[in-house]
Amino acid sequence: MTTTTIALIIAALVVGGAVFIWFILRSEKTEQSGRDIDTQLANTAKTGVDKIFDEEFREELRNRGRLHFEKIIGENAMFLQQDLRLTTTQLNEYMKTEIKRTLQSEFSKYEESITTAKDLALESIEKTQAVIEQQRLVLEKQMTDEAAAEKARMLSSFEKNMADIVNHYILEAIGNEIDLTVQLDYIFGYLEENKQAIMEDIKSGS
Amino acid sequence: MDLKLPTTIASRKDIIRLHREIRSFIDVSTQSIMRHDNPVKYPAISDQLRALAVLNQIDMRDPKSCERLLQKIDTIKEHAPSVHISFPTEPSADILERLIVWFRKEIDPFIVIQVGLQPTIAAGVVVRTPNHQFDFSLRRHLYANRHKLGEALQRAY
Repeated sequence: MTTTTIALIIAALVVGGAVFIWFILRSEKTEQSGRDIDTQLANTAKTGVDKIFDEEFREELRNRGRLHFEKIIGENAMFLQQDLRLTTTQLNEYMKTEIKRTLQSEFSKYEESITTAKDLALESIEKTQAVIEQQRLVLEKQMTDEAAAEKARMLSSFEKNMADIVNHYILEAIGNEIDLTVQLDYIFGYLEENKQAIMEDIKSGS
Repeated sequence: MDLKLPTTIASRKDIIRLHREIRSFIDVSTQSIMRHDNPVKYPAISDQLRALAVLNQIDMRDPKSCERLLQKIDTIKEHAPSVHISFPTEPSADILERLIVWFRKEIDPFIVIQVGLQPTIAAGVVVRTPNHQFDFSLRRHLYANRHKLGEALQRAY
């Protein structure tokens, strides 16, 4: 039984009671005065109402109303539960969709950022490699030039001092073992070659 | 000057010592003559002075000959040309004598030499005259022919 039904029953009872009271008041109206009639009508109505809406009927109405209310509450709770489940499901779907979309968007941005960073890093690395390669070539050239210069300097120094080196080696190797007697021919040969110069220098000196 | 110097008189120090010895000889012999010593006392003479007197046939007992010798030695001491010869090792007397003979025969009969040691020259000699140096050492020879050394080294490598 719905609330509407209960309301219709109550309304029918009230209308019935009112019609009954009206007929009673109409039959007595011709014989009594106005105040008495009103008082009488009030008492009659009160009595009628008391008779109609006795304690048992009221309890029955309350029980009916309670049951109906419980039913309504139950139905509404069920609807609410269904709505809630539906809403929850929709919310879950929405959340999933939104999260997925957001995540995809963020991942896309992240991937894009990563790609950009990767490109920048690669570009930077390539530039660095190019600079390093350039520096390496410059350094290699410098090293080669310096090595060549050092080699040339060492060779020049060696060639310049080669006579001293060999002389030093001979001196260290044989030292005082060189016999002057065997050198006399060599010495006299040089003296003969330079005899004129020696003579001129001595004459000019003396 | 008709004086001949023996090879034993090689350096200016020898000349100075000889000059001092002749001066002393003249003084001692003159004093002995003035004291009327009989016989006249003559001091002992060195091998160098003896060689000089023998080579030039000088009678050292004759004071005038001694005075002339002294004058000649004095002149040599003051004006004799000199050369400095550096050797890698101490030269023997024979080598020195041969060098002196060559110098007195080819350059000047009164030339004196000064001997020095220069071990770094290894071999040969370095002759220094008043204004010039004649490097006859092995080092100079190697330096003059360093291109040959370089070629030899390149062939070795």
